[in-house]
Amino acid sequence: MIFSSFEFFIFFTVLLAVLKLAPARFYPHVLLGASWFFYAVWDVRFLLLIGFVSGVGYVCGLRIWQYRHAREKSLRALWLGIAAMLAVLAYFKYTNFLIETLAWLVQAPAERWYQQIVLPVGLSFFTFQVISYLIDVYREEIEPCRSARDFFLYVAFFPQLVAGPIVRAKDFLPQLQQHIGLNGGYMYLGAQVFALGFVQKIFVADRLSAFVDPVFATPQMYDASTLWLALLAYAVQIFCDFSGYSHMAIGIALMLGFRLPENFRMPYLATSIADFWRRWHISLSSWLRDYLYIPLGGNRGSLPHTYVNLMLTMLLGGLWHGASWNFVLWGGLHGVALAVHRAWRSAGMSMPWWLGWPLCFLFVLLTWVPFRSGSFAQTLEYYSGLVGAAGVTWIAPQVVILLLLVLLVHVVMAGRQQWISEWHPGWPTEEGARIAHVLVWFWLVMLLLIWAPVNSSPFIYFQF
Amino acid sequence: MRWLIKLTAALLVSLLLLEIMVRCLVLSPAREQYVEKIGYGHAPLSEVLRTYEGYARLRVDDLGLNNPPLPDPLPEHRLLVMGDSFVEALQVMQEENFESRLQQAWSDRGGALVYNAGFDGSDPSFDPDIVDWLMPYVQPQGLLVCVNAHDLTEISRWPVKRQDDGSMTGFVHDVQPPGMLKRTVLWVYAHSALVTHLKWKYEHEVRNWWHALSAGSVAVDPQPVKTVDDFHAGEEGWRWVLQQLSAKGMPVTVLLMPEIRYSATGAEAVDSERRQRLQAVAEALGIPVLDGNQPLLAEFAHSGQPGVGFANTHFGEGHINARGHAALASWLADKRQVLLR
Repeated sequence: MIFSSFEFFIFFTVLLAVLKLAPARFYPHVLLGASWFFYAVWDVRFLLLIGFVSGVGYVCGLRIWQYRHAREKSLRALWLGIAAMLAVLAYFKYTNFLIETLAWLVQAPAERWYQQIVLPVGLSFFTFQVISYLIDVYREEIEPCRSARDFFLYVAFFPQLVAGPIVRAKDFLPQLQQHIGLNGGYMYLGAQVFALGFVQKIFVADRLSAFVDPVFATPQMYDASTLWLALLAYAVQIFCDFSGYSHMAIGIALMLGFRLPENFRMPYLATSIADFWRRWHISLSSWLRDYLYIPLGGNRGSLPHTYVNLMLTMLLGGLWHGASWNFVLWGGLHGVALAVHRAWRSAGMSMPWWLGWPLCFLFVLLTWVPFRSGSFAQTLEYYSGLVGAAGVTWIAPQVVILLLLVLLVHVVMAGRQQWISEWHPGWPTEEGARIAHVLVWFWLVMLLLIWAPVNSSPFIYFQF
Repeated sequence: MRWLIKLTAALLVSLLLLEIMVRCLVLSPAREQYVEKIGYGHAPLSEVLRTYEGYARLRVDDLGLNNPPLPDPLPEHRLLVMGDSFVEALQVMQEENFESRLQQAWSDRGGALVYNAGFDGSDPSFDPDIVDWLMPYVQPQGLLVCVNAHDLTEISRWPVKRQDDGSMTGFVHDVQPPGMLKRTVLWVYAHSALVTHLKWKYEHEVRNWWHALSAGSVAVDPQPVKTVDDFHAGEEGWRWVLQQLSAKGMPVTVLLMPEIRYSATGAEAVDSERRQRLQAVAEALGIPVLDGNQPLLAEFAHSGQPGVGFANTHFGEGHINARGHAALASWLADKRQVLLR
């Protein structure tokens, strides 16, 4: 049940109606029930898993707090919780990857050892949420959640359950303690944010995928210009797909009265690789910083030690995205770039934005190749094709127009406030603003009705 | 109150802008005419714009079919090509469809008129009536009946007419001349590309959801997969259609239209069992059957480009694209001896 489907629309409408009618004290109960239902629609067996993960997280959190004055016991409870999360993650996500790698090392066929394991949707996201909760309790940054209902809702909250943003307990749980409920202002704001995500997903990402998928499937068949266009299209597709999902998740949560953290801040405008990671998938990059990079020592040791920490963090960050050496390569490349950036800064050098931006963008663009390709061989094929392979030219005009449109929107969004006030001082008047609001919604709905494909494809980040 | 007037004016201007935008970028308004026994088709000489799958702007002839004006006098050899939207080919420019390309290819082999009688949404049960309707204008000397998987079963949806001894005499088509309401709706479609587009895009979905909700189930397949059993039910109808066409006194050929999904590793033909059964029916009546999958598979193997689908549709799905039409035409060009035998 993806957010852009008609089934979800029905589900959400019914949920809003129930929340409106139910007494306020049952609000969290209804949300928890709806979240479990939402998850069960993917596969009812996954409920057991999310119940196990939530149960372990809940009990371990209480134990860590209980033994907070006996650090050894407290640490043991923390490691028990983290080990349980990592074991679940490792089993479901990395078993076959491990088998494949071992088989390759001993040059044996891997097929005979393959396990039939279905990867539960959103596993990487909710296990990371529980780990961050346990560490925060251990660090005494938050108190443990004493209400099982609230904790289970924190783990299963359906807007961000399957593809983030990764929400910290210290951001989410206090909202449950406040008076929550349906609120007209939040509802309107949430609907706007949701609509923005919907446009990103349906209007841009889904349309680009029809061009990107065949080119990445057989890159050896296309010439360099087609491969560059497909790479550019993929960069925009993955941004609009994931950012679109995040906006829809944030919008839905807002409509339900919850604030979720921002996940993207115009990443392709970054002027350095460090800047890029402050703008791209912010909830994951900040998670990796706070719960991996800093505990490893961060930049508190020597410069080489910092580089090692950066590399380790990014390699694991890459592996988090999927059980494939391609993701490790992608993470490693970003780790190297971050280390180079750190060295550059340590040497006291700087770079003007007009040089930093194209360099950073080109690097990010090129590293999408291993991220999107199915294997090393395909990655190498794609890279070699980018530098002048002969083949079929397929410059789809619709793709070019769409990319130009996205570029235009990016530029306009980057400086929207200043432009309006400079262009028309005194605008908008109250009357003008009211009309503009209705017109914006009218155009948004009409453009979606006219151009949105009837069937939508799943979000890319669901697989992670 | 004043702001409401301003808002209404702004909305009207917006609607006008959207109408212009749709006319320029999406499709033309549907101007339709009623033809007795055949149903609704394009109004004579109307302009058609389609951008759902690629981009095509063309003008239909004075019968409302996707052809340039009929030459006068007619060429010595004339082939009538019948089928649904695959044959009508509104998704490619007129000179790019396989009928035009076939005519072009034959121009130095004795020449021939290849007339496109494709009707969006039609099925072969209408073919005998279409031949009768076009006979005075086109005077065909050969019939090419193009069949896709959809047609294989669609024929079974019409009730059959029978004699007392139970033998089949035809189909009961529920195509009615326009009443007051239908005329009004047609007028709206003819004047608004925006309404036409929204209706075409969502009518099917809304109807399915309405049906699903009223039936108490949300899970609905928007295009239910038809089974081989549906074809068994229509097999008698198929035999009747082919007999009727053979009785027109000109050679009939069946072309199984390519309806395939490509993959990077090869290609998978769909509905092979239904295709085989139709082939058996046709061959029992002495009608040759050509398999249209072959040229598109060969084109895919050669170029890596799909002959079906466009850059803005799913890979390997949708109607035949310009590349596919070219491949199909060049393959059919060598079949002149069969088609105009």
